[in-house]
Amino acid sequence: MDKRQDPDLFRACRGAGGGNFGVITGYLFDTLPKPPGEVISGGLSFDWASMTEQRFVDILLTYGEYWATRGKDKHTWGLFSVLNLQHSDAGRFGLSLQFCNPDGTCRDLSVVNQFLDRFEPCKPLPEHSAIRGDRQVSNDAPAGSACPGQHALTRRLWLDATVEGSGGSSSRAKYKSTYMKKSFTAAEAKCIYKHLKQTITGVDLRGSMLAVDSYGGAVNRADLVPETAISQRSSIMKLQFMSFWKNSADDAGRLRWMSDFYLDLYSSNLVPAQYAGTPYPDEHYEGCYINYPDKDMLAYQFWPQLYYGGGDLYPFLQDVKQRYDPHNVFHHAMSVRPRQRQA
Amino acid sequence: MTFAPLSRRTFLVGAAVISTCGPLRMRASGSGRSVEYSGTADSIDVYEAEAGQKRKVQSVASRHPSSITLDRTGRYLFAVNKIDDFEGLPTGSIESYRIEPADGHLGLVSRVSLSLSATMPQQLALSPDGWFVVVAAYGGGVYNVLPVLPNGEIGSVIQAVKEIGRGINGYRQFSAHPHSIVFHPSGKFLFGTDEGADRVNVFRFDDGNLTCLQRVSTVPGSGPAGLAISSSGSQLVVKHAFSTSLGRYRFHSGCELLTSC
Repeated sequence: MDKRQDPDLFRACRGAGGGNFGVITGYLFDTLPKPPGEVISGGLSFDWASMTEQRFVDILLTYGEYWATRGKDKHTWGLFSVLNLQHSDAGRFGLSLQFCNPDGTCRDLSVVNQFLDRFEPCKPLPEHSAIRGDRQVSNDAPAGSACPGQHALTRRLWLDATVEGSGGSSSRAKYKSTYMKKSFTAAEAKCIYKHLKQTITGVDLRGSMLAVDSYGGAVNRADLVPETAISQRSSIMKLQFMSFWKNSADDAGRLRWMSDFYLDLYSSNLVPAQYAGTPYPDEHYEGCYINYPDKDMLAYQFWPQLYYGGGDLYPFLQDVKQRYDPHNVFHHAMSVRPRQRQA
Repeated sequence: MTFAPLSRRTFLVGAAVISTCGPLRMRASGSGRSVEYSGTADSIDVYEAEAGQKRKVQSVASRHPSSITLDRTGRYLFAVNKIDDFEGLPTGSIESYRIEPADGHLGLVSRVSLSLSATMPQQLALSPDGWFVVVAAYGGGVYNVLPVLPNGEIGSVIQAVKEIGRGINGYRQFSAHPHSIVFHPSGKFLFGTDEGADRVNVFRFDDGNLTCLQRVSTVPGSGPAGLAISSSGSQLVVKHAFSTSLGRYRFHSGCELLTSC
């Protein structure tokens, strides 16, 4: 199938394919863009022991403000970052990034350095900063080498950076997600700080975190809405609430921590009263991401709108479901649901 | 034609009315007293009947109980909930109740989820030995098998048989809709009508394992729905949802074959 053959099913699978309509057995690509040759990886680290609420708020507002302003400039679109807000039980949390210029090289690092410079007042840990000096990366630097400069940067081949570093060994995990259209408010940052500092007797919360991904760039092209199944085209950050652990005895404590955190964060006046407890698509938030499925959201009758928006996308997906899988053979807890009819 | 008998201790099953929607009634009678259980949209009501007078004596909360039945000892009542959302998941649910021997009142024993996609269950059937309950999920087009424990508790789904198929009758037959099910008196076979796919299904039932043996097509667009079996298990009558006709069938248990009369 493609844009001409089964175009509606093709559209549905461009964002809502996950277990809803069938199994894709092969992909054929026409023309692919040229991949970058190399990327820069780097980051900053912060210490929980010396962290104050005010400094934490500054970090989050600095981060969010960048993506709400400078991050919308096309020259910065080669920069991706994740603010890994680990629970305080972990001792520290960090910011990591990956970057390349539009030409696929890392010759000019001004975008990276301007981004990292913004966090200097937030006092990142010194051992994660290289000596001051020339921040340019030598073109013949071997892959994996540390680059000279104020911030610790590592240069790698794009392919190596793409295929490395995925996967984990935890047997149990929980996810939640949020698209954000605007930067954090101070109240949000304080709420996040409170829950990351919170300890629960008998529950080890290491491996629990809120990861704040930068978001935007070409993905925010509004003209892609009618030809894909992704409605979120206005966000600047995507939040991943995550927890990873090994023993089922820890299930209840871990799940409660995350559930309380999420409920608290989305019960502010930023959320319309009827959608309290969720980042319902509105002025500040843009719902949740279906590929981080969160069964807790099924408690809300409006859960499809959290994932697919309040427009005509979900009804469209239900039509596709009716046409291509009328027997609902492909289903799971959060799959597109067929319209019911009474006996 | 009589309905498949349930054995008796405290109560006797007198009559069961099968309907495609709305409340379902079952009457049971004990020593000198008659008790009736009636499903409504949001409850199972218990009535005492004496000298032609009926009096509601209990109402237990239950979401759309579309089919209720007693176990063979008369100690437990089972109900299936015709819903499409249970605890946030797209499925229906099933309940078991303890029947108080003294007055026939109900006490909830278990309420469990059906398999995912087993929405809008229409009917349940207890295996004659009482160890299993089978559910026909009309909306999701699937049969579920669940174990029944000695204390009346229903266990988790052990088998889901997904049905596909459709008929010619527009939106009413866009997909399979298992409607009614009934056990053969031997407990070795189960019969089921599929209103969406215009067919009567014959299953072998072996220690909780459901295997399809035969599918008999009905008149296209007829929508086989209601189903009754003779006490010997040799004759079946099918009521159609979209036509005024009845279908008559003969089951030859020796060669495991259902034929139209």
